[in-house]
Amino acid sequence: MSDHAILIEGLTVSYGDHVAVSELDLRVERGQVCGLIGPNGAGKSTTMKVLATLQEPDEGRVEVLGRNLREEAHWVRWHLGFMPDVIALPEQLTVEQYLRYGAGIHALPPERIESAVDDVVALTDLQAHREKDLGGLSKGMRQRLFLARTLLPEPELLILDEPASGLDPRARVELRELIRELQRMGRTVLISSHVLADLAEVCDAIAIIEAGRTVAHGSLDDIRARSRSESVVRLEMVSEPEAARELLAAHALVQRVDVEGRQVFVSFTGGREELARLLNELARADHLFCTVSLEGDDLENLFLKLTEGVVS
Amino acid sequence: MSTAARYLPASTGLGSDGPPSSRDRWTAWRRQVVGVARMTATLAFRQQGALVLAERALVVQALLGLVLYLVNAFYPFQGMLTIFAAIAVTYAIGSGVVVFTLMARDAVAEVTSKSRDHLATGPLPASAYLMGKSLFFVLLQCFLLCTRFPAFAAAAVVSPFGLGHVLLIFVVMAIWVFGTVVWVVRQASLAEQWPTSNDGDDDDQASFHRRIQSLARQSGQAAAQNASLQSAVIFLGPILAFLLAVFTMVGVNTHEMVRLLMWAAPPLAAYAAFLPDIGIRLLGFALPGWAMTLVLHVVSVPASYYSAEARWKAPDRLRGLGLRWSSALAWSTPGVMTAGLTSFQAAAHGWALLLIPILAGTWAAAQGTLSPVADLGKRHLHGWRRILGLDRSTSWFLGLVVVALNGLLLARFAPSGVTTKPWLLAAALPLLALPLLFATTLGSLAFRESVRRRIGSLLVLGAFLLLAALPVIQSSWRQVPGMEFTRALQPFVDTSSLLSPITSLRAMLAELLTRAPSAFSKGTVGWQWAVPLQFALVGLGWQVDRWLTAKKAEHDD
Repeated sequence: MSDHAILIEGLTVSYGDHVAVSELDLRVERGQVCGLIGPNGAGKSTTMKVLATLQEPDEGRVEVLGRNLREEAHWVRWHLGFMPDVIALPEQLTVEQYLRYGAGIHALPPERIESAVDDVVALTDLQAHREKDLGGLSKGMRQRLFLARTLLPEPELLILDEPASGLDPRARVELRELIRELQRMGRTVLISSHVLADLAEVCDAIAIIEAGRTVAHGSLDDIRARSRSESVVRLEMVSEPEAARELLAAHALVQRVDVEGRQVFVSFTGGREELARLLNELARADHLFCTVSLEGDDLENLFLKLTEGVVS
Repeated sequence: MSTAARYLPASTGLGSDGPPSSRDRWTAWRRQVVGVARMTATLAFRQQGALVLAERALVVQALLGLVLYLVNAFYPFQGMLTIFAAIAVTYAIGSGVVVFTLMARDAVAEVTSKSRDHLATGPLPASAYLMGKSLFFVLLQCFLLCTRFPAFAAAAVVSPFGLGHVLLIFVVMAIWVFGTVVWVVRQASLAEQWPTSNDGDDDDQASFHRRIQSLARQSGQAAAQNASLQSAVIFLGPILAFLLAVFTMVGVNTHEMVRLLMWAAPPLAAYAAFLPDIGIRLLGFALPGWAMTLVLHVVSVPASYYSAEARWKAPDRLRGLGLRWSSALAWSTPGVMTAGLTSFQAAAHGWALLLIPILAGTWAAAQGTLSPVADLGKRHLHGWRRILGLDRSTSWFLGLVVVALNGLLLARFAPSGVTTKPWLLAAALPLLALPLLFATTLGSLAFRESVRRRIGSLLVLGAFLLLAALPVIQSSWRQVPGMEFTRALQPFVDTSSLLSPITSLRAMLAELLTRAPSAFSKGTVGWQWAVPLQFALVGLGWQVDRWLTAKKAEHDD
């Protein structure tokens, strides 16, 4: 069994003369939660549609769960769960009826439908809304319901296109929790979102795409390291701040050190591991500090640094 | 077991390593179909509103008619009950099936359109759903045709070359079904291209709009093609048969083209055997139907355009509903025509032909401006008005003219199957329409949408009940001086013989065909009065509409 759940090499998709995705590469390991981010028009949804077998790729190699998408699209369709960005639900049905319908679509055996519906309802915390008409559900509940429907066949790979779009803060927190739960259950998740803070919290890996190409791909640390992104580390010193300045300034990944009162601001270009080593070194040299905080190394800053807002 | 090894996921409990067996595939497919069917049924029966009420009334009517029909088959009633049962069952089953077909089709359309993306993510691709939908649609059409089979069979019974007649009709209907399949497949392919949102990935806003409009146009064109094909088949089929019958009669079948067409000689002979009566009957009853069908199809083209556009804007309501009524009318017309061929239901169906459009319009109007149907009507009315450069009142006027013309055609060509004074009928139709127009316009001024819906429901229900009760009303007309009861039906009202349904049908038809020509000759009575009267009534309606429009404008201000 291959290690990767998704492997894309040189994917190109065009709509007439318009090239939506151009030689895009992406690799998502099994069990990973990978965030797909990019500006509007970058090709995220197109890429996801290709993976969901809704869009035929023009060129490139695409493997999903070890199967070649071109040759075994039907197999892939059986084994993945896809949540599109626009969800339309038949409003006359109740939550329960809709999930039973979903169970039918996924060919669950009749004797398993009840328990499967119970499971996903519990997982998505929809118990109180089971008998409600879909027309009366809030946006957050609709998202959860659709995710529940997607989870019915227990797919190994989930592709979620903008699941947090339009959700209020509470619903976003709940969605994050749900994704973490899926992660604990060993599911592979490819998720796109414009709420980068959410992605940074739940994703093991990030792929940044722009104009149909992969700009950066890997863990947040990897990307940060590769992009030489500068973050500012703020240290609240217990010992003399000026004494630490020399040691810090001598480090290869430190660009600049500023001292203000008991606070030291370090411009650092390394990843989190290098930062941990530096702090360890500092402590061993008896430069004691009580607080460390990172500023400017978040996903949003990285995204802004790596992308230029170009649309394919 | 790894997911990579098995074809069907473990959640299905089917298959194991490697490709699934055909039995497993079949089981999976069956579960999916059951899932979709269950949802469709749930959706169909959970839809609320006036239409459902009317539909249920029809279904109940159909069931009652069916019971009557079956009871009559074994323990035949006498006289009027037999006729009532025959008319009620034929009309109600036909209409019930039409409406139920539409309802189910809409439910499926709703499921497929609304769930296109996420359905596609399941193991069954969107195209499979759409193809399934088309299959479902075609099967229902076939079922629909089967419900009309008694009428065909009746024609076959009385025709010396009956089987050929039936075959011809089935050939015509097969082309019709083929046209529908082509249309549905085309729709399916269009639906596949349909963008679900402007998520920014595909194009900019302007381009997205252009794509939507282009697809909407294509969808409209596909509907237009289908409408043309259906119109051609509906219109040309009987015309062809009629012409062939004429050719046969006058002996011009030496012409090469006619000879090519003469493979259908048995039905020609069947028609020829009853000419000129059946031809007159065809013209008298089918022509208004054809005209109405064509008008509705022409109207349905912009309607489909707007419903396609609306699908993007408000996919949850307009799709399916948009063409429901115009389709219902168009679909019921061939049924009326077919019934016209067997003639014994002519009176009831003559009324139905006129009542259905009026009821549909009434229902739509009763929904008020918030209703998607009324909104849709308004949209395509605006479209046509722009094209024709008409103001609102003139549009209403023309609408009433269409209704009046239909009445005139009926009055002009109707044999005495309805009444011996057809001008009364011609005059009565706009009279019937006017109170409905009053009621609905006033209703839209005075009542909330929910109340308007109820009024619309009651009107529709009442009118359908009126239709069902028409034979009873007719029988009571016998007692009214000057309102002589239908001559053609007379022998069977008082019949004391216990006839089996088929024998009864055959005897009825034969009798009708024998007597109708003389009745037809009286059909021109009142023609000269009917036209000015109708125009006066229409003019009055126009003035009333203008007054109400002005009042409504004041009210809105």
